Amino acid sequence: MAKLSLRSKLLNWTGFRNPEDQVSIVLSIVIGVIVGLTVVAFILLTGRLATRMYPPGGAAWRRVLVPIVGTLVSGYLLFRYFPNARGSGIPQTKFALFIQDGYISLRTVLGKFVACSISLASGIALGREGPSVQIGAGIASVLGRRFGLSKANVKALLPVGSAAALAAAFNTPIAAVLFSLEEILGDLHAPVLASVVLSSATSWMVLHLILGDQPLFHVPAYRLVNPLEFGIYAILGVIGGVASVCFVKLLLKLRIWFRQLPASTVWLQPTAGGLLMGIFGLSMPEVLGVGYDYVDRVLTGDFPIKIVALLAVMKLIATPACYSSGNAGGIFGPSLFIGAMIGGTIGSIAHSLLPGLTANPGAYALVGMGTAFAGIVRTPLTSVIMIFEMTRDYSIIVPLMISNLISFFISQQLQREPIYEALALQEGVYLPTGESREELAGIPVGNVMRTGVDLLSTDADVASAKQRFEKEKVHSWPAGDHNYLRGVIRSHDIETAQPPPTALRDLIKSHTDYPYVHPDHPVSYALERMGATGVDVVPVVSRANIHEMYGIVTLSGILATYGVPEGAAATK
Amino acid sequence: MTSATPTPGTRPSANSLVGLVLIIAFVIAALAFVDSALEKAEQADLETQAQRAHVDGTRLIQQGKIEQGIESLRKSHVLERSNTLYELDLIDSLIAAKKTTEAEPLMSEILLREPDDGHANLSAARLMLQNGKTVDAISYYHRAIYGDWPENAPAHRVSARMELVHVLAAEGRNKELLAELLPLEEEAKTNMAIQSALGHLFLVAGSPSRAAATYQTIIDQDPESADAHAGLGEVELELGQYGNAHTAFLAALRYKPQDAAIRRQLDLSNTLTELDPTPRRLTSGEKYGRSIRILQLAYDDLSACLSKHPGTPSPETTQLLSAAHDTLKAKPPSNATNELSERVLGIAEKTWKARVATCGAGFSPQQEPLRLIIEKLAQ
Repeated sequence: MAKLSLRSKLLNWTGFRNPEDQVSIVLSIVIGVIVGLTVVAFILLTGRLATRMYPPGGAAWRRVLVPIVGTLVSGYLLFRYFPNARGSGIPQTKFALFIQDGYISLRTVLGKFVACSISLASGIALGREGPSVQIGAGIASVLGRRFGLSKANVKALLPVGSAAALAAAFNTPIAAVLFSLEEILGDLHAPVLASVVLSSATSWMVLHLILGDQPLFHVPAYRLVNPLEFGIYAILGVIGGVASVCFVKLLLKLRIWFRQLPASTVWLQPTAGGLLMGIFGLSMPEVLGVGYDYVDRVLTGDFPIKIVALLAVMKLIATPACYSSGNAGGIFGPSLFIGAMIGGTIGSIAHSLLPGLTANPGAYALVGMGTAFAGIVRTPLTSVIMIFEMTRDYSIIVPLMISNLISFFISQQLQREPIYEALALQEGVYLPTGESREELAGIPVGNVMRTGVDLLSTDADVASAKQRFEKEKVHSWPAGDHNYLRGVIRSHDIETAQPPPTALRDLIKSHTDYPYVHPDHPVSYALERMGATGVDVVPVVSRANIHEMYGIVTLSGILATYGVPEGAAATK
Repeated sequence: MTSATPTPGTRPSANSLVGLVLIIAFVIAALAFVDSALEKAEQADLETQAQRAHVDGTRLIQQGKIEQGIESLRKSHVLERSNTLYELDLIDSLIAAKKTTEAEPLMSEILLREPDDGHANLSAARLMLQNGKTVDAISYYHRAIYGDWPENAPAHRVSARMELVHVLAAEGRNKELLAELLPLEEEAKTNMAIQSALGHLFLVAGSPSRAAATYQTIIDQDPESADAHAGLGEVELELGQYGNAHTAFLAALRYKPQDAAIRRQLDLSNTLTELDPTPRRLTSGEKYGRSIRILQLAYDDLSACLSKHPGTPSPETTQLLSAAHDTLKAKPPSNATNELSERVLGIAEKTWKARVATCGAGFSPQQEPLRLIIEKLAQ
């Protein structure tokens, strides 16, 4: 038996035989440190800027002017310099993961940091957590590329950066891991689990070293007073679910409306959100900013019910308006705020009607936070763990689970598309859904794809198509103009068309209804598509644009991948 | 890090790898520096704001603006949660405003964090007291007395013990009260206020001799202390030394001539001195005369009591009233003996007891001399 070197022994022992795996693991820790430090700086900078914008006892005009000026400045910066830094950051991170091979530019990271610091400090009703996720994923992407990792490994680092960012932004290391796997990757058994955990823990340690051991919210020790409360928590789940659907639908509708405005107004659109915040802020200063201070107070049951209810409604309108108008900021924080206010309102009503049988309204505010998060973001497991970690209160976990699941179910029934997928669809991007993620198991199409193939011109005649079929020994071929894919031509269609076509364009019935696959689909899915549409060649297209063809995948190519020689299938 | 896009999969050379690691180290160091600076500035800001809110809150509460004061103290606590003083002041104000529901979780939190903190345990004792949990309150008072006080610990411990003795006095736990008062005697030597309070508390605890000694010490130190003289007068009244009480109240009145309470006690001691049938110096006739006056007072009292409580009195009461009436109407004997006086006083005692049984133990100031005399006779 050959004697193993010390290095080989070490590699065998750690299980990391591939050098890139070793780099990835070390990078996970480095990412955890850098992302942790960056997010802490982001939190502190935003907080300090906000204090300067709104000094204690400041004049009322500030509450009108600051959001308008803030959104104007950040809106121009986003338009002129950082177009990819708009919005929450979660969909953008998913675009990068599923479409751009894990590519997020350093410019986007810097843009997100700067634009969000300005807009959030100005008091718009958006949160810092979504942007932190994009910043974290961006840092991971830049580092992965710098270290010369393969595309697959750079992609794998994105959830690592996301988890590190969320762990620092929310002070919730376990929920950050879960969120990265549940929402960003969509796979709780992803092989990057170790790296994600490592970066999350590292980032959390950095946060603790600098900011100390304080949970995001301080919650008194609540408990279930009477089993009757389960019923009230169920009602909270229903109301929270309906409110979540209203929030998502309003946000999506407003986004469509803003997207229809002339392109020349894009730089000015964020100011619409700022203007609304100015109007709201003048009458109700509590609505400005992410409002965690007020959440903290509602959690102790110390807020008049009228104000709590009004804040829930105002935030339910303000956040979609700010987000849809193109500001940089997330919806995590606002969803927690809305949930706390809804919970606080229901808790106050229940407590005034049944004082001896119900807990302090703060307990309902706490459960409400999870309810809205589960309904809006649609990550029920993350939301339960996140609320637990934020508050470190275990006693309320069962009502939280009940309420969350009801809200999640209602949200799923009334709004089919989850918010991030729906936003991506508005951008023309087809992100893999929960079901389609299951289809992604196996050898990816990208591995067997043939690149550099020419499209059949739609102006070409039938004869040239037949020539191509004969030359390639296939029965179908993609057609289009100037690299713009329009459809797939089949020999069967040519032979059966009546009257006989003069050009190939006559055979193309629809510009979107043709077989295609994406590079991350497994070859088994390509085979299914071939079987369903009767073709032996399927174009491989971009998730961001189904008319942009990367290459093709052929039946013989797939068979060859599995070791079946050309013609064997026919012989058999 | 630069914005240039390296091609994925292209390994950096050894030199550029070193450069990259150095850049990363620099970025980490720079970020750590920025974070620390920002955090320090933030912390300083928060501490200043919290201190301001605390000062405002304390001032508002002193001005009687409780709600506003609590709001400010709440703010100071939220801004600087690690500051135990702010949290305790908030708890104290919440207890004072009877907002125990909000105070309780804060209290549990702080006791979990600092179980030996004297101030925290004192606040917990007050909270327990307000919730009617006297036994728990006493336990927390003890923890406060023996707990940690960062500054001026002896004064805080004495203050906590004084609070405890007042609770024990109010609860009528005289044995425990006496046990707490004894350690305070040492402190009282240098603290006139404590000494003055101790005198009264010893009396409440059922130790009039210690009370008298305490007041005497004060008078020795400050002969013009009207309160000490009045306190001594009370002790003498309790001991049944009405003459001494009269002297003490007279001295007290000399230094506080306008004090109505002292004057009232002086009158009482005067009445008692004239009514008291026990002094040895009295002749048998004088003693009999005083006994008849006592019986008369008891008889009048019972008759008034019965007229206010309609219904047929018990046969024993009727018999007692009849015996008292007969004794009072009887011609005074020319050679009254001590035995005769004792018999009259015996009827007076029974009449008083019948009065208490019929009308309860509530007394008007006019009935005070009779009560004290009967109590003295019972001893």
